[in-house]
Amino acid sequence: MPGSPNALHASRQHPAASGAVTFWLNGEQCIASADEARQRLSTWLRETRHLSGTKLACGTGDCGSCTILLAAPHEEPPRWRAVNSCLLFVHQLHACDVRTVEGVGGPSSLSAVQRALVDGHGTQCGMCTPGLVMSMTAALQQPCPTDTRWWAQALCGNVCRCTGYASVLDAAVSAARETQLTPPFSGAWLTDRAQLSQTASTVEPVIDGAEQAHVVPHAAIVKPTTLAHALAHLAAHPSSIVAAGTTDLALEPSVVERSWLDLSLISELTACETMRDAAGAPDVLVMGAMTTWRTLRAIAVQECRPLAALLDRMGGPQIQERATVGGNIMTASSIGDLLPLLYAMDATAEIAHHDGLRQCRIQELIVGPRSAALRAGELLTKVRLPLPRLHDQLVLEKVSRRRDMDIATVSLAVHWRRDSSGRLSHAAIAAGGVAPTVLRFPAAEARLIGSTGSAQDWHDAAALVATAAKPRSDVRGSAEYRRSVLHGLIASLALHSSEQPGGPT
Amino acid sequence: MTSTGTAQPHESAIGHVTGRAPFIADLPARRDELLVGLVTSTIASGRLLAVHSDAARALPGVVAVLTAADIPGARHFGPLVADEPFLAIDRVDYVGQPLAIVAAETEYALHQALALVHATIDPSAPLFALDDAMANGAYLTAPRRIARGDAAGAMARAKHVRRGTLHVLGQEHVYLEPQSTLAVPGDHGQLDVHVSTQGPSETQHVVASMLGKGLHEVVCTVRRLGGGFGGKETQANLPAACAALVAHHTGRAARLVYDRADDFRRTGKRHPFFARWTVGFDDDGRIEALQVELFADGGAFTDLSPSVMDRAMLHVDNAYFLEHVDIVGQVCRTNHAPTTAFRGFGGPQGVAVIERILHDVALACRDQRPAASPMSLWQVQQANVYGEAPRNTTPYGQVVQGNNLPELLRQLRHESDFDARLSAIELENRQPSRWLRGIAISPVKFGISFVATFMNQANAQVLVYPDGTVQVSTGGTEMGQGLNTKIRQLVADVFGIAPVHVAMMTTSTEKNHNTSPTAASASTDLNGAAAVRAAEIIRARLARWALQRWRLPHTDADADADATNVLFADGALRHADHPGLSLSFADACSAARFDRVDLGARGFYATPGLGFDHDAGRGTPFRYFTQGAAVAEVRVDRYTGMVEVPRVDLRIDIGRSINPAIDRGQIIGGFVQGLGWVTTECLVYDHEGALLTDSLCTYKVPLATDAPAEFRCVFHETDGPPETVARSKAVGEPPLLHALSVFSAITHALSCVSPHAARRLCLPATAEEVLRALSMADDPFENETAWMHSACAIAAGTPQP
Repeated sequence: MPGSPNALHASRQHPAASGAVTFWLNGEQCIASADEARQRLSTWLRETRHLSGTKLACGTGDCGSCTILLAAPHEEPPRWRAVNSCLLFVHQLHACDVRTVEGVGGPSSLSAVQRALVDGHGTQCGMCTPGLVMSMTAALQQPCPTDTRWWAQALCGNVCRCTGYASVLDAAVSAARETQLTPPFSGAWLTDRAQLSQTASTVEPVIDGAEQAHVVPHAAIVKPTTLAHALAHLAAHPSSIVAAGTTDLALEPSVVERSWLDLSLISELTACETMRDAAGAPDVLVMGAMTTWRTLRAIAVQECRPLAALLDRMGGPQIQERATVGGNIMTASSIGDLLPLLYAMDATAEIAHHDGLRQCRIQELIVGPRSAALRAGELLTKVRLPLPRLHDQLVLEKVSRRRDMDIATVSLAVHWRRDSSGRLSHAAIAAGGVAPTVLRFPAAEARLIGSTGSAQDWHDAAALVATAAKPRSDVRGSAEYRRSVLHGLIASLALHSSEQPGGPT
Repeated sequence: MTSTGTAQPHESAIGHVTGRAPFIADLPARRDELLVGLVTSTIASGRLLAVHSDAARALPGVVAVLTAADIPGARHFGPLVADEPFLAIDRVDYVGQPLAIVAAETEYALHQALALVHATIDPSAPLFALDDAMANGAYLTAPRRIARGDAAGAMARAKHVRRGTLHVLGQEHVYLEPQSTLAVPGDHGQLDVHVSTQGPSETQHVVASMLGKGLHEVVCTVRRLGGGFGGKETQANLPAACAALVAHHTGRAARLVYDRADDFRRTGKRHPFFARWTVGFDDDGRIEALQVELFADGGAFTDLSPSVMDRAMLHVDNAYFLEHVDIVGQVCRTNHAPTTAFRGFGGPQGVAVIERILHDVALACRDQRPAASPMSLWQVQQANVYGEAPRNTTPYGQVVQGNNLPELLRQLRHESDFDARLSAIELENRQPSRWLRGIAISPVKFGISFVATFMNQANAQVLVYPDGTVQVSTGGTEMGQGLNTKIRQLVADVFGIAPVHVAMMTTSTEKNHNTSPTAASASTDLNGAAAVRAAEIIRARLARWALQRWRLPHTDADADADATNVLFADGALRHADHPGLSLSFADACSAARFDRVDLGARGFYATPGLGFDHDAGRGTPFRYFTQGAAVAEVRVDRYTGMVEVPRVDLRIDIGRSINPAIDRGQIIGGFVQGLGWVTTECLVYDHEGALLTDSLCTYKVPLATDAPAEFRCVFHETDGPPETVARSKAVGEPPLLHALSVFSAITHALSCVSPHAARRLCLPATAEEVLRALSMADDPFENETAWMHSACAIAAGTPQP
């Protein structure tokens, strides 16, 4: 329940003390108390700050009603990210700049987005509206296309149950036209960037001792700025929760009271680039563990189109801004969206300990459902993904009840290559959602290698895969459905040369 | 300039976009406020032996733990039959049923306490599936019948006879604002209940009866709802009563806001239906006889189920003349949360059934005809659509007045290029491809009025102030649908002033009492008409006053006729025959007040000409019909079953629109909500009856990317019914039914593979359901019982890790 507003005012008058959670909210500096720091951001905004424009409708990051804008320090050029405030805790805001709908425009000072929604009849009950305003505002930092399909994708992290979206999309298009005539408002909005950066760097990582840690009595929350500091901390506190984008972790109620090692300020972990090998080895995409899906998508558009198409369907924009490559792997779920690709391409992980580095294949890292084989003090730092070569075929499928913002029922990655005679010289098949972990299918791969890839060959491979799969029935689909989809998708690959890959587009 | 007919912005739009339009959960906490939570049953059926709450009571910060024994008044409630306990008394009947209420001072104490309350329950065998309920004779109602002609005799004479079945599953409302109530003790033992309800009067009745208070001691107040869709018609009453009970016992304000999972698990949903039929028809697909049985899953208690079944039966005809027809409907009792009102209120299920029957007829005719002249669904629809007398009388005897269906269908078929697209799609589907396409046209005729005649009434209060501004209060609730915006326009036009000078006030039972819930699409018809009447009373007083002021001769006998010569327009009063005589509206109001003119009035409206005899199944339940049709095109992935909707054309007759922008929002919004119902929204329960799809993570409502990529929505131009307010027609529910065009288009796509696949498709056509139906392409089914058991039997286990 509400903390003491008076205490908050008092603390706001002091400069940022080392070891405290400090951030800027709608242009005003805030220093969170220990109790506040562990509150869910959406709750804190509504109950402690009485900013009830941020609506709470699902609490699981699925509806976007609680969307706010977050600008991280060090990012150049500065950029607002639309994120779900129900999937963040207050301490994760440290050194960030935050805007809520109250900071966008009031009744007598509507922003272009707000005006477009009013004039375009884009509101009905109004519960989802502030979240839509924030998502549209974030998108409009750059000139945006003025077609509604683009906007549908850009707003697919926001559920509206009233409008059927047509009026919302029309309003977005009209706001996009408007803001192309006037400069986008990014820079002018930001709190003093230097102050943010300084806050980020002056709060040194807390190596040990809860007293020094910002904030929490029993358990430290540590947000180091270098990998070395993170590894040293982890070696000393191996039971800490390692927090990346927390789009999945935040749903676990038990994490609130634990020790946190938050990786979000470590720039070494966000690098993502393609290593090219002149000697003919495949290009390798090297992804820092903290590479967000959004960043990865921007690279995948150039380097690996099927991956870009898959990333479009991994969460909505708010999730894509936060969710990371490392998080998707370390969750070790059978329905982790990236895993079939990483398995099929024999991607490797770089694992760091403060004593040194080791490498292993992704499938060796994941030893069971929700279980990854990291030793005490180890951290996943990089993933190396060999990219398909020029004439390779790579098919990625995600089957879900709803096209976007859904968790896969079945996911599939198939990679193959033909030799000069037209026979398959390489084949790799990996699938998720059909066993407790993602699986490779060696028998089916062996059946394909050396074959001409005829309809019969693929059909046989499909049968082998369907036999090897061990799907279970759950809320997202029955075992029979999963097996049947898997079989159908693989058997259909004989047709692949004549049709476009990917799910429905 | 009148504002009726223009696209005025939503009256709360600026509050919406700035986040400043508050919902119950946004209201600042009062100093004495308690947080309320419910302990609910984890067992679907059993004897409740004890509720153990001592440990919870002993926790610091816990102020009250209340059970049924703490209820001072009635322990049961229900809109038709008071059979639902507020808190379980001696047995439990569904998972999620409230057992006890906890009130605490902090969120932390509340959650600790909720976990400490335990119940001892002696479980008994639950009933979950409709066929299990039918086999066990578990019914909430006796069968009802609507029949005409001699269905059995005509069936025996019919050239072709087919039997068929359809399963239709439920739907969760997913109003974005969960159920919310703030109950505040008032003066003299009164209670103020701020609640997100569609039916303030009904919530007032329920709370008063539970607390043993007079109705004059309870005030229900509703500023706005964050969506309702029928889910807050009766379902708001239980949480409201629980918060009120805490306020009653503790003398402190009490707030109960469900979280999303609680809302999913505890509240009733759209009724699942099972239908089976025998249809007789001729070579041209004209229906000669139809016998239909409808079974609805009413859940554990009666709620509104009999009325929902009524409307389903009254919509089995949809747009088609059924000469010899026998419709029987019965509501089953199962161990699910009591199913309830949801946009369409049984109508969508009834229409789904007849559209599937026409598909079956078309497929049967196709099989019997030479390939050169195949029979399409469209031809069957044409053969049966309501036309001229005598083919214009419904099975319940009401004549379809103002039948625009043939003309509307003709225009839609043309503007959507339906024939050419149909041919192209059927041709393309013969090629080997991953994608299977489908297209279908579906008409909808939806009856407007509450079937329960007494509910067709409304009152409104209009207050005019000396500065010429106006406040309007009605019993209608604003839940996003634009009711208040439309009423504001109507009242502004009565006085000839700008809508900005008219404020729509919070709905409250202390201003507008004995009202009907905002439901049945009829709220503008009812509340709008009442508000216009109230405003007209004041306008007549002002007109008579103006004549006196202008010293124009008039006699008392002719006063009303003379008063009509005073024109109210453009913010002023003018005399029709004396252009020089004018007065601004504000000046008139100010001066009239000094002259002691009453500037407040109450208007009352009761829809005339209605009456329906349930026992006979005959009468005039509806004032008029909203009519329309849609053409939907779909693309189905043969390997995954996933569906997308590239294009929809929709033409609808809503009379003269009061606000075209708001109506367009209702049409497209209703359609997309219906699209969710027929495709991705699937409720999955485990074997114990617990809802597994209890979050937006597992229950998938349409997103912007699921809405039709191309949506062409046209208003069918008509003069509108002369008897309705501003000649408008109701628009709230009918668009949802138009989404059945999508289901029909999927059925069409499957029929291109096999008639058996098409006949097996259940609703919703989830990806899994589509693939299941496709997998049965070679498997004609005739064994109804086996089919019933196989259909939609979703075996649920633990989630994939």
